[in-house]
Amino acid sequence: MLVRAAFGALFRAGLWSVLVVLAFVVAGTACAAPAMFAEAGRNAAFQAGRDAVPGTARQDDAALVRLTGSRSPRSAGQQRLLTELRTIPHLSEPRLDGGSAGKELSWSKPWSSTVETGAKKEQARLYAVTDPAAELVVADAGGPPGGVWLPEPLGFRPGETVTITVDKNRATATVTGLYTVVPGGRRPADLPGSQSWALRDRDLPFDSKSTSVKANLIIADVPTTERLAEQIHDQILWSAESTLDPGVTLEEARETGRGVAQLRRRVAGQSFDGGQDAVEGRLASGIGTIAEQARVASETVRQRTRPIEWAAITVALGTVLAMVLLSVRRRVVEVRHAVGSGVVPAAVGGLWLAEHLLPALLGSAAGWGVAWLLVTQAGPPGPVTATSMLPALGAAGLAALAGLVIAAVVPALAAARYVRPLPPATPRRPLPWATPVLVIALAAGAGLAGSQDQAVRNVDLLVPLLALAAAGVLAGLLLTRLTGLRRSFRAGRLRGAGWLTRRRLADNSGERRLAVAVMTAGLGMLLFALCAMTAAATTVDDRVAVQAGAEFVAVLDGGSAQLDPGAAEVPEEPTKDPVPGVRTPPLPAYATVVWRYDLYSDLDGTQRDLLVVDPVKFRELALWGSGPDLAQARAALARLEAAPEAGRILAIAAADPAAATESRLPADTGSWKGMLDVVAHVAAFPGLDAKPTYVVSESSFFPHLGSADPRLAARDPNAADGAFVRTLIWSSQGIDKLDVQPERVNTAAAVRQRDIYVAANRARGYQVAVAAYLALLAVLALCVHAQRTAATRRASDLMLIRVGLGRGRALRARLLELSLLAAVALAGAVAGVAALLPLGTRLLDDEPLRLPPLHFDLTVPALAITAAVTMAAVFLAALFTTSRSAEEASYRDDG
Amino acid sequence: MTTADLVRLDQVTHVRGATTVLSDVSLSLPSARLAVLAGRSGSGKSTLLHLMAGVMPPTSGTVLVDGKPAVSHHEWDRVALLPQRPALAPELTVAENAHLPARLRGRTPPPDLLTRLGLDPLADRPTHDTSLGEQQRTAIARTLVLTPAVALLDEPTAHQDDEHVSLVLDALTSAVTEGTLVLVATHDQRIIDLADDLLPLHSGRLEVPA
Repeated sequence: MLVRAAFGALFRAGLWSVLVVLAFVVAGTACAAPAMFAEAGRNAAFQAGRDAVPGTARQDDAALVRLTGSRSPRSAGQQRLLTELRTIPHLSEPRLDGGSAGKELSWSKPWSSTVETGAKKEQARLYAVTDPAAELVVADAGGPPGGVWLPEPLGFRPGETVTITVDKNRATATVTGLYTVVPGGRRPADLPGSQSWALRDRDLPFDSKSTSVKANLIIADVPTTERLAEQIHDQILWSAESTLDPGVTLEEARETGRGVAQLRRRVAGQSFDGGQDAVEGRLASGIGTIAEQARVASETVRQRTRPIEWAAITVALGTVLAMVLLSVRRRVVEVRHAVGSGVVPAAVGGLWLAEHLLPALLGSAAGWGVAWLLVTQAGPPGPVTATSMLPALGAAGLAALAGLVIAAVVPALAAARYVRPLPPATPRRPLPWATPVLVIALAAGAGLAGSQDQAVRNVDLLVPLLALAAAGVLAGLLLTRLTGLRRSFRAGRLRGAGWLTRRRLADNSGERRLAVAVMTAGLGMLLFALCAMTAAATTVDDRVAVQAGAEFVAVLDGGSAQLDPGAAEVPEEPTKDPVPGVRTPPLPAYATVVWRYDLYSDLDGTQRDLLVVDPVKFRELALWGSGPDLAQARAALARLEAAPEAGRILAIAAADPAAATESRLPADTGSWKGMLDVVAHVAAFPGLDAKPTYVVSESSFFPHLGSADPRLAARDPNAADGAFVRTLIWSSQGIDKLDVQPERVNTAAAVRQRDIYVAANRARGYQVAVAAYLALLAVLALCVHAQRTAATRRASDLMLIRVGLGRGRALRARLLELSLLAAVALAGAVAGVAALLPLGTRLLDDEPLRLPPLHFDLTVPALAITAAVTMAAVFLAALFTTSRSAEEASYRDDG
Repeated sequence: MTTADLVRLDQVTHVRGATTVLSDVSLSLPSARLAVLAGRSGSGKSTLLHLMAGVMPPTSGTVLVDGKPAVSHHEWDRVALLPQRPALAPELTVAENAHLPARLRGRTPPPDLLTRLGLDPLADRPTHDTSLGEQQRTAIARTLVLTPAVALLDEPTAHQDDEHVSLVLDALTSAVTEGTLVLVATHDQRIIDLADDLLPLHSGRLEVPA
């Protein structure tokens, strides 16, 4: 009967049942979330890596598999390979291409491929696709099928018979249709929404007569192209390309990568059709690389989030423990009765386990669902699949099991104490938990502050929680002391409700102090996480700006004169005066030229960098992050926009602590030696290259260089003028349209994909989720405290109303009490986080030596959100204050 | 109803759950009397007191105090109640609890109230730091502090030793002298012996008609 009653206890305990289930929901969420978060993170990292690969990347870098060879795709060897390619999962149906390779294989012998009819003769080369009509933008399709497609600009007509000639070899074909080409070019135009021809551009054959122009293409299907190629003795280089299916997960991509690796080994070690190919077969694919990079990036994230995950699980199970301990206290009479009735402690534990079985199952299952919701809605943007959902469900089940063990062991131990009570030799005193918390927090904080180790140890991550718990302890003590300062009431009539609230708060209740400590810790962790999230995001933004400088930075081989056909030349005789006609190359508004010099200074003999910029354009298109250091740098740039003063070169000094107090810096670039007038010292600047950097305007610096001006076109490219200067193009929109071939292009996107920044983004969300959960705990703590005190005080509150306090004042006293508790906890939380500000950089910065430094501050939005949570806690706790039990029952002495 | 009736019950029946606690109870009581509700545990004494205090309305019948339904009385100087559980405010001292009804109205409590109930030495002690008997006497003081028209007390001597029982009895008789209708639910013979009116209750029924 007891067991039967135990199973149904959930439905009889009212609001307390809700709290029990919530505790298990929290435990289930904390245990289920890590697996799903990890998978979402891995998949997001993979997708980000995939998206970062430009569409025109080499096949070895792209998310595709490309088989090339000289054998016909209809040959047995190629068919075997295609069949094997099709067995690799998550790849699209292979697309077959074949391009004329005769010229490339003719070595230095003259080679020409033409198409003609009557008087019209044009250079053109064969190209095969699976279905020309489906892959081309058709301009005219009036000819019979099975023929060739020609570019519309060549002037042929559908239905005509054309002759294709390579040397003396000829073949005839009928023109099936004409296709559209890209404006100003020869490449076939892409169908709307497609980039297939643009992506093939790199592999299209060049014109027979020129290696800088792509060939006009005679496009036909595979059999037609084979036939024609055989007749004209042209060699076709065949390829089969499959792209990775969109939306695949990292695990699926790794599976594909393994299949590709296996195929690659076979291709490398295999002769096709028993003979040697004139062109060796080759497999190119970037899938494995992209997947591996994503795996490494996501593992970096896991290393950062794993301690937080364990902390969350510990706190969650601690929640269950706290709930069970409170339950035992709440039902101590019931436990005593059970013991007195002869129920052994183990049976008491068993009954409690039965009672909590349904809440544990419901709660942990709901927790699994909450975890899925949190991860999919607020976690990394990668998909969550059964790969992680099933293990997560298992983890939630383990949480339920752990919670049930706690729910059984704690009451069993409590019952055991009543079976064999210890005779109190001394009065039993409550456990002094406050002092140990303070001591441990101080020790941990001192240990972190004094540590010389740059790396943050896992145990250091506990410092914020300990510090905030200590702040909560102090807040609770302060509240009791302050409210107890005036114990006696004023003479005369008792008005309002403040006197009652003050007297209640002055009561040094350990339970109240614990509730304040838990609230302070929870609210403080939320505030800390929100501020940390802002600090980390700003720092990543700023560091990307400092490392990259602009979205696109192209390094030119040679000077800026290659951008300016009208550039003045270096005069025959060296001169210190400005060369007439010298100018900065005109570029679109989204691009500007930046010169970077090596700069030597007699100040301390170390090397620095000198950036010469157009301040106005630079300010518009450089990356400025979102933090205060780069904002200061941007503001300082305005000082360089002024018209140059005679003889003075104004400069901004960035990240040069050795010259922090200097207003003039002796400088030597090799082509110029003089003084820089420092108008501003800033901590960081876009494009800072790990050395102190000085920034000057071109209008104030170049006039001093004379014939050493880097904008001049060099007469002798090999002449050196003693200066080492790199010419860069900084652009906010790419450099494709600038008609220049840079040595390399560095992008901000690539910097953003650094593991450490991806990890920072991913871990941030998890940290906020854990902190939000701790804030929820804070809300629950106040609600539990409100519920317990409401139940305990029910009779006295009713009597207070009856003797003359009135319902309104009684309610106001209650609300005032809850509001003050919450306000004190919030104040403690803010004070605790403020105390952590000096340690925040140590805790949050994975690259403490990188500029700009991380700034950890209290932010207004974070304070507002924390205050809103505090108010919500008061509101919910007030709901728990409203008791529905009958007044008469409160007056009966049934205990 | 006569002009002397301060409390009047007419055919009051009260059901709690599936149990009929009081069945067809009728009585009337004037002021300045010591009336005792006597009966065994579970006879309905406490319920009858609570009905007169207006804690809840009866299931049927009427309960009038000073001519008005009991549930409409909310003034402690009209109807004061000492329930089985003293229901003191634990954060207040003995004196503060006892004098609270007066302090809330800006009135001066009787200077000898605590002395008469032997609470002087405990005046500044928090009630959560006192014994059950001391808490009960504090609650009695709170009940009588405004010299109410009707004082309803449920087992006022349940936790008292002999010395303090006499203090309680003296306080009750003093209240009657001052005009209060004191109605006590008890099975303490010492109070029964002092009663002006004895109202025996048996299984929810009044055995002696009013």
